[in-house]
Amino acid sequence: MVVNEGTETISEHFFTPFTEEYLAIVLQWRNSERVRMNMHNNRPITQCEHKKWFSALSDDQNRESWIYCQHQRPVGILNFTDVKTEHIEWGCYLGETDILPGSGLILEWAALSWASRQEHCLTLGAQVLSFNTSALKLHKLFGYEKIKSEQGGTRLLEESDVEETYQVHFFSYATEMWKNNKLKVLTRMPKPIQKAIGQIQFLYKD
Amino acid sequence: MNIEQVVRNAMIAVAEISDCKLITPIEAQTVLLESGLDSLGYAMLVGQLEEELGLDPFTEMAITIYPSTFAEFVVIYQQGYDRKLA
Repeated sequence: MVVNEGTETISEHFFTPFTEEYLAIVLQWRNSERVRMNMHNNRPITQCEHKKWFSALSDDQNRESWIYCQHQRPVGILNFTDVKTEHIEWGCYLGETDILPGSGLILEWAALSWASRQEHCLTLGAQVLSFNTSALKLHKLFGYEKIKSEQGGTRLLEESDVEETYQVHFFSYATEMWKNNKLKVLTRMPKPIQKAIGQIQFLYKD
Repeated sequence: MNIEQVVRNAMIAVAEISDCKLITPIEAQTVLLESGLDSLGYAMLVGQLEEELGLDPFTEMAITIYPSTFAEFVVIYQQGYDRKLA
C-alpha cells in the first residue's frame, strides 16, 4: 500500500519508490543517448546488468531511488546514496521529453526537499561532469557550494571527432542552508515551476 | 500575430541570456530538450513568452500532455492565445 505524506489526493507531481514495475522504462531511459552522455559510464546497459543493478539497489539500505511522475506518468528518476549517513549524495535524470518545461528544476527542488527532511542529513552532495552545463547551471541557481574538481576521463563530446578530457565537479548543500534559502530560490522560479513545486509529494510505502 | 515566430524569437533571446547554443534549424519535429535549450532555458522561455504574450498556458490551462517537439509547443501557445482573444 502506498500512502501520501501530507494530503490524501494524488498530486500532478509526485515521487514514488522505484519498484519492479518501472524496470523496463528505467532501462529505456538509462540507455537513451541523452541520459548516457551525462553518466560516468556511458556505454549501453544490458537487461541482465540492469536487473543486477536493481537487485543490488533494492537490497541496499543505504540507497533510495524515486520515480518522478507527472500526471501519474513516470518521466524521470531521483537516486540517493549514503542515505543513512549525514552526507547524502544524489543524482537524477529525466527520461521522457514530453514533460513540463523546466522539469529539471523540479528534480533539483525535490532532491533538496527530500534531503532536508531526513533529520540526520547535514549535507546533500552531487557530482557533475564538466560538460553537463545544464546541471552545472541548475546547481549554481539553487546555491550549491562547489567543493572540488577532479580529473575525469576522456569522452567524445558533441560536435567533436576527438576524445576530450573532462572533469568531475563535486557540489554540496548544507540542509540548514537550504531551509534558509529555499524561499529565495522559489521566487526565482517561473510560475509553472512554482506551481509544480507546491505539488511535490513523496509517496511512501506503508 | 505569428505565434510561431514569437516563440522562435523568444528561444533565440533566451538562448543568448542563458548561455545555450540552439541547434539550427529548429524544425517542427525538433525535440525541445534536444534543441540546445536546457531545463533552465526552457523554464525561462515560458517566462519570456508570458511577458511577450501575457500568457502562461502551463499555469492557466489544464494541460496534462506536455509538448515534446517545437510544433507541439507552438500549438499550445497558439491555443492559449486564441482562447485569450475569444
